[in-house]
Amino acid sequence: MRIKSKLLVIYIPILLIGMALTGYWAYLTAYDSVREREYQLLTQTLTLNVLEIIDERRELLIESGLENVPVFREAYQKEVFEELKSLQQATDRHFAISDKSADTVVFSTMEHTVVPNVEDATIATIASRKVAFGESNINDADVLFACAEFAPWNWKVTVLQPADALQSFLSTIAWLTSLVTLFAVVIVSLLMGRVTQVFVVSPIEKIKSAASRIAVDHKKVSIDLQQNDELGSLARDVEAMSGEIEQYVAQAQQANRAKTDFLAVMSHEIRTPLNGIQGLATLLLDTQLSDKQHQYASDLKSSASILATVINDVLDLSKIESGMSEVDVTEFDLDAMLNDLITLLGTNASANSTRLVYKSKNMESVAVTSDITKLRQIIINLVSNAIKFTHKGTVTISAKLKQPSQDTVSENHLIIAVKDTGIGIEPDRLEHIFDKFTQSDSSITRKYGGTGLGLAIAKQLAQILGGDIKVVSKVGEGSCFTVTAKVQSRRVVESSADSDSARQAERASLPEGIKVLLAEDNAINAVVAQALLEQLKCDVEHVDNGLKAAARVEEGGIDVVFMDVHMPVMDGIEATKRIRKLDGELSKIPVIGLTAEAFKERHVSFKEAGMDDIVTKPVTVEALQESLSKLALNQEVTDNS
Amino acid sequence: MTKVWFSLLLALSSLMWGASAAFAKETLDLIVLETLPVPIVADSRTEFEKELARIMPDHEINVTSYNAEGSEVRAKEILTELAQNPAPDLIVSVATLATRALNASEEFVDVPKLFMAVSAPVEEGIVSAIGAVSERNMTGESHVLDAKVKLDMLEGVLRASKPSSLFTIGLVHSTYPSSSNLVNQLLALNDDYENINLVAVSTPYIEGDDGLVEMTDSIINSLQQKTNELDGYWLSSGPLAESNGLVTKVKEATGLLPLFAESISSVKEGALLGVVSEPASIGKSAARKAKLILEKKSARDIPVDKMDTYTVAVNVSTAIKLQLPIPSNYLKLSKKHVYQ
Repeated sequence: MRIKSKLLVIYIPILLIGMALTGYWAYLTAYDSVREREYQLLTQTLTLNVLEIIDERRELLIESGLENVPVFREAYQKEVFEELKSLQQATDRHFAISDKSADTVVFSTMEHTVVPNVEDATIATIASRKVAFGESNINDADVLFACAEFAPWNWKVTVLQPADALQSFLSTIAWLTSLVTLFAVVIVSLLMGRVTQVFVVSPIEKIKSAASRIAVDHKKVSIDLQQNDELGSLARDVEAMSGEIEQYVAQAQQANRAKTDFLAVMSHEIRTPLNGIQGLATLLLDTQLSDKQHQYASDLKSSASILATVINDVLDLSKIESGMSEVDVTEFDLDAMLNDLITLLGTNASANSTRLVYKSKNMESVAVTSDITKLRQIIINLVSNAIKFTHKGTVTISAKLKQPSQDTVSENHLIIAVKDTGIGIEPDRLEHIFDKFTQSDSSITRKYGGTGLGLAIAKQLAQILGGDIKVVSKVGEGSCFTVTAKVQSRRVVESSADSDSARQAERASLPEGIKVLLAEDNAINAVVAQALLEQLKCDVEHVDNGLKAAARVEEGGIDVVFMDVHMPVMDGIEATKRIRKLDGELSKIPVIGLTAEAFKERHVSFKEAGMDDIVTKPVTVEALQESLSKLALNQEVTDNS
Repeated sequence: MTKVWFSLLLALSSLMWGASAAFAKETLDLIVLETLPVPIVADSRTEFEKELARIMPDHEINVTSYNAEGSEVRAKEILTELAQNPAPDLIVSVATLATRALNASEEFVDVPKLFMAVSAPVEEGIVSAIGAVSERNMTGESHVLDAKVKLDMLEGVLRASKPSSLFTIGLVHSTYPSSSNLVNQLLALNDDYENINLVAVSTPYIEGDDGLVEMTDSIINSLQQKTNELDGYWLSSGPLAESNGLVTKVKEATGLLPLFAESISSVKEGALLGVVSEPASIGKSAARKAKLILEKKSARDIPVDKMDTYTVAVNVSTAIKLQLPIPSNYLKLSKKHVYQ
């Protein structure tokens, strides 16, 4: 709710209550005033009109010596009655005269004369006369009355007035009060709304707009607010703050760039020797070794692999946390990708005597659009984790799309559950399971190894993909991690499995004797890469810097170049650019970058320099094969040429 | 030396005479012609003279009064005689006959004339209507209340008693002009009043004091003959109403009481109700008009109208006797003219 609406929602009830109370008070005051006035008029009518009419005639009779002349007295009393009748028509009040001694009504302007009960009446002296007045109920009707005695004629004179008119008048006052109150509330609300808009909301909106610009641009802003109040002061503060933010952002960006550069360097510097270790271990395992030597070489390779995993995790987390992790959306066969993963991870599961089961729903003949790399990493992390903590059990991967896919691309939700029958997680540790460097038990690290970053990375990747990871677990029974992600999906006619089979077939049919120029300054890495390429039946020629590589390419006879990025004399980037500047077909020779830098944006910059693909160190035979396979068709053309 | 003293004495005398002449009051000659010296006439004249002297203190007012002895003929004779004398500054006529003669006189057309105590100036041909001016250099006021108002008042009294039948009222009058005029007006209006039945009881007007006695006897005889028909009588204006002891005599002779009278004295004697102009009011009002004329405002420019001050008088003894309670508003109007 907007602040103006909130203020009005608060103000209007307060105003309504305030105005209603004021109105009620005004009504009560008016009520008392009107009643007072009515009683005043009634008693004045009695004393100044009725009793004067009577008294005047009596005085006249006395002055004329006719007081005791019955005919005159009666005549004048009749005159009084006639005058009261006229007065009744003029004032709409009723008059009654009763004989006190006989207790009989001698005159009344009403058809049914009823003398009101004066027991509860108020007694007052008005114009030297004692008058009783009040309200009474006569024949189910409320009346106001005033009465007084006229002793000389032994009369009790009463003036009556229906309370209907008074009540009607009071009702009118009540209505008017209500209407005026409502009108006042509306007017005051409008005025307050306008005042609030001008003096509060509008400045706040300007400040908010400025804050939004700051959030987006991180630039210094100028707020058009000339008020000299708190909001004006706030605007000046925001302006000052935006200036500081601009500075801080610039500094942070600089620091981030420094961090990125550092990570890139570290990535390269760590991966390069690690690449050598892994490659050499692999090569070593392919030689004639005693059992003991084979075990050592195998352990060496495993240790290097674990170290590579740790480094990858740390780098991945760094990338995510620095905001450098981008969503690279592609369309792919999710079902096939998961099947591949099951196959890939099945070896680990078997080693742990664990069965890996995969089930899917709404996934057949469906192309999913998402970041395949991140999805794969999430699943690998979760499944690897499940396998690690499940001994002689079952890890079940269930994948489904929430909505059945249509022929056209539509938004969908991917749900993948990884359920294991492992050791489970203590309830009090569940909430920390996704924290970095956290495992359910420190002893786990000792027993099962790992950095404790896998789940944290998986969760953050899932969030980047618009989803999340939830976990339920029971100690001794196992855990279930459920990944959700926003994806797009569509139904495809062509079987993606067929497509994958074709691709595998293509990979399998990688031609032999491809002439590969390997440009690598690190001798160990060069040995490893050359050995792996030779496993792929490639004819490898090695140079140790970019200049030599470019020169060799210019000489001709090279089908593809594996170009290390960081090399002395001339780096891989410059060498690639030089190759692309060669004449004719030589400029089109595929160049595959070899780099220990894991950051994607660096890969992009390499490709912008002319490289066709990037293979990240430590290189594996699979990665080299996949990269060559991507270029296989082109290569085939080159070969044909 | 003697011549010198004589010359000085002569000069001093001349100076004193001149000074006294310079401070002497202007003398105004007025002639008052009254119809006959009945109380209303005589009293009105007296009040007139007193008021005029009071409001014109800077003038020496010489008033010469003449009595027409109730005779129009005599009034004309007096006027003829007066025509032989230098014209006065103002001629004032009192009552109808003297006024009629003065208005008809050709000798005094150019002399400003003022009348008072005339009940019907329109009927007398002085003006065409109340509020109009006279072409014969005469002005004045009618001292009598409108006949309809009088009947309304009497009707009010009778209605208050809630009578079961009509009140038959004898209109006692003479053929004296103002008297008969009033009766004619009353009779003309009679049909408009549900409680009143008016019956004319008339006697010929006879001039002179003897005539007044004759008229009284005559009217008593007429009333005696109609006693059984009448519930009371109305004493019309004119000389007959001014007859001394008329009410008493009628009461003694017939037992009838007057219900309405045109003079305070009649109410004092027993008339139930009277609405009259008192002589003091008549005289004073006429004096104010006379002052205007004597201060050179033409009588031709002063309209003839009715007096604006009347006196209500009631007799409560009569009311009690007749069991006719007088309404309180009349009693209140009567103030000091409530008689027992």
